[in-house]
Amino acid sequence: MSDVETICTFTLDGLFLGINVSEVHEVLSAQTLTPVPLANSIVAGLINMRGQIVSAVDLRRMLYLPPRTDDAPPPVNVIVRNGHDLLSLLVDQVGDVLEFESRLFTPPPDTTPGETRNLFRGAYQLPRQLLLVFDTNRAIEAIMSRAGSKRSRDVT
Amino acid sequence: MSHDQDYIREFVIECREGLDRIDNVLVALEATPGDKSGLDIVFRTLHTIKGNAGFLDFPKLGAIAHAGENLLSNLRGGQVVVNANIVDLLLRTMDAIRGSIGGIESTGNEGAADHSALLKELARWTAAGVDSVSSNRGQPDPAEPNLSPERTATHLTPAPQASTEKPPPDDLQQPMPSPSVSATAIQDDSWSSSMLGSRVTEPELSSFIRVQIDHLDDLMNLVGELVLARNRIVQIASSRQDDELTEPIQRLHRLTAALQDGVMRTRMQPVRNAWRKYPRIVRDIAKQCGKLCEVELQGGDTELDKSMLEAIADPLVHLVRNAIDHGIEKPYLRKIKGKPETGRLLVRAFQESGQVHIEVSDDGAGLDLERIRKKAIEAGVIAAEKAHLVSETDLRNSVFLPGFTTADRVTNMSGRGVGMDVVKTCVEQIGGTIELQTRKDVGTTIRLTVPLTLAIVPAIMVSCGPQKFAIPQINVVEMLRLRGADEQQACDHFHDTPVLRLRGELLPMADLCHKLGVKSRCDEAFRETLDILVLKTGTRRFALLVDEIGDPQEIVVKPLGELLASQTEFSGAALMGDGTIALILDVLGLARSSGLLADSQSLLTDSATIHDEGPRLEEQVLVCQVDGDRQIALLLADVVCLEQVPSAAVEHSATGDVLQYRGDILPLYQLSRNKPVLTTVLGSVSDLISIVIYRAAESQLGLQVDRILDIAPRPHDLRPVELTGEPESRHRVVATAVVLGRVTDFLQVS
Repeated sequence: MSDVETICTFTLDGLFLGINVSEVHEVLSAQTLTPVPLANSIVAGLINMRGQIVSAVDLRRMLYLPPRTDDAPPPVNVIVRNGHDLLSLLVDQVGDVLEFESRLFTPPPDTTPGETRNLFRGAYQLPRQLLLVFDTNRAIEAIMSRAGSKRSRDVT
Repeated sequence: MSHDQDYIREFVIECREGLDRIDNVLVALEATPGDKSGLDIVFRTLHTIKGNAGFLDFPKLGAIAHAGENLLSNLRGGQVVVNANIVDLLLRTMDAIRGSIGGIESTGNEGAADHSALLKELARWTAAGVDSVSSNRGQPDPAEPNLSPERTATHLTPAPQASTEKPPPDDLQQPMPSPSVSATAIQDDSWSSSMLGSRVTEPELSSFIRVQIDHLDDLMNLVGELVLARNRIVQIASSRQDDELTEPIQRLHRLTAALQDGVMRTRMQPVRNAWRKYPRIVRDIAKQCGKLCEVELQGGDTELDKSMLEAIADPLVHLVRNAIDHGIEKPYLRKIKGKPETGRLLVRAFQESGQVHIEVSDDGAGLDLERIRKKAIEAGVIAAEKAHLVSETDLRNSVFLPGFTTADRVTNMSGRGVGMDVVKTCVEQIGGTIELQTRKDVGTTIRLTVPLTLAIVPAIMVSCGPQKFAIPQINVVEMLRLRGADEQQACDHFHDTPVLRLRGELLPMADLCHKLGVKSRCDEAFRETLDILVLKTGTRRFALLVDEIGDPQEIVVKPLGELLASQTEFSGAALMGDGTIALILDVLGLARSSGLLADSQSLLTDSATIHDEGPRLEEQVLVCQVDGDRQIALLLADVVCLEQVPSAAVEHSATGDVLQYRGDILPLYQLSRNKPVLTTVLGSVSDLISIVIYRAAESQLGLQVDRILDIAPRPHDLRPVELTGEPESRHRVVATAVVLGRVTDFLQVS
């Protein structure tokens, strides 16, 4: 029996994605988004998470996917820690928390373009599709640099 | 060697407090050498330090304290007479102790500093009296400077030989140089009491506990959350109209407000805490510069959040230093100018409109604005042909420009020094503003205005498209609602730049929706009214057009987080009562990013937008109409805000007319003797009445007037009037004067 990794899965424009469950702070149903004028387009807005104000990142824009259609259900918040800060990643739908055997894990192929390569740690091969796993640290780093802010702290 | 860290920390804090007190006593002693009452405190403090140093095994520190104590003991007994040299020596002793303590705090040991010279000098002065007065006492212990730790630890009582000595013969008295600084006239109760050696007014030590500031921060955050939760409940309840809920909710409202107030107060500290060192600093700087200066401190009881106080402490010291170094002239120069030789420095703090103002004034040389102008032309910062257009405000403010001040030496020569830009940055970082007023040869006043606390900020809510934004009240000068003809008259263009014409001034104007790229709710072509805020940042003012100006609100500031750290237009966000989020506009950032504030270089050339700083709040009055044609005026500083409400909103209770106003019940008073008229809007009579929300003592009340006319500067020729108001009325006419071309009664409301 080899090691297993527990992954919180979600979907985004038909893609099957995941984040290691230990890196997910919590998952929050759709919240009212307060837009931030003049901010980078990947900043979807601010949400009120039980009195705490958390910035939300539009993952579709971050991954250069087509924008959510108007009739689509509102996005779900996957909250991750960024130092002492929290950050919400907006996804289409949250799936189950699944366990995967580590031997099924493959790093991204060498032909993956630079930016995507940085966002994902690799993939688990499932019978019908691949589950792409975020490299949370580096993904946040990429998000911060695209939003134009300096990143000062490491993810803990 | 390891000590209990807690003991050491306590020891360090205690020593610091004691030393700060001593400094001031010593400086006062220098001014009035005859008054020995303060010596007891110095003696006692040194004694305590010595004892603790022995206990915690810091032999060097103990030796210094011991030697100082010996000298003090002889001073108290009169064997040695106080003179400037001794005060100087004692101050140096305090510095040495401070140095040791600093080392103890950071490294846990007292360091390798060599104090033998100081100890020798202390011993010499101690002996100077004893020796000559009573030779039978023999020489002072030669081993004194090399006290062993054991000895320090055991000698906890003052050397007894000194106390009963006779006063020294006259010929022994040192020729006393006249004190170069006198730090008297301190209008501060606790100071004067500690100087007199009486500690009766100081509260018992046991009634204080030291609390980690983190705990208070946590509490503060929790209370902030509680306030939001309450707001939410109040909102839900008001939509339900459930009478049973009203009473408990009112109670919840009151309790949360009291709790919030209480927690905030625990973080408040009197500004005096930052001022403690001033007499000493003033003395030292004046001595270094060869100047005479006395400092007066007023309003030390004014309270400020601890973090704010810490943030402005250094900038304030800088201002004090500048005032002496560059402001106050050398004694001979002052004599030539016909001023008293001793310069006067006034540091004053007071609270006004929910903000704290701190002023540093000197009666020195002031800024020579013409000289700055000339230098600016020479430096190529302004073009010669345009130089006469540059206003005095801009010339004054040039001391805040980084490059201009330091590199050019302009301001050094004309009176102000380096680093004012740093002071300005510090103050702006905590949401404050800085102003400078100066007159050549009369003096300079620098005024810092800072919010009471960082966590809860009074703000004006504005809407812009579908969104609400908060603008901190500290930045809001006034709010205007323009209609029809007024609108066309007030809004103009200076070539391409939109400007607001306000009482003869031109202010640059921006449209918030436009600047933020938000779609305005108002159709530009058919706007019935224009809501405009006049905002200030530093000494510059500009106008901001918004869709609608909303209510003032107390908001709890939350940081925006790292993702939006580069967003200079917003300084944070706040949660509203209904759970929505409002972004807080950073007025300075907004002005910069929208080009309303020219950068430092073109500040001097861009004369189109130049204007002078408006009059201060306490110098302005609100002019209203009552009784159809009578004009009355109220001090603007007492006015909270202006409201128009439907006449049906006025309710009646046993105590008279009342008005529900933001969850409160305000008593409402008629200022008209006749029945008041309804407000006219756009030419037709509406159902609205005009109400001035007025602050009288601790509470607020509503004053109903016929019409609100304008804001005007307070005239200087106020003529006092005999009491004319009916005895039972809350308001009375105290003076009359001509305002806006008409005779106006000045009202005072109690």
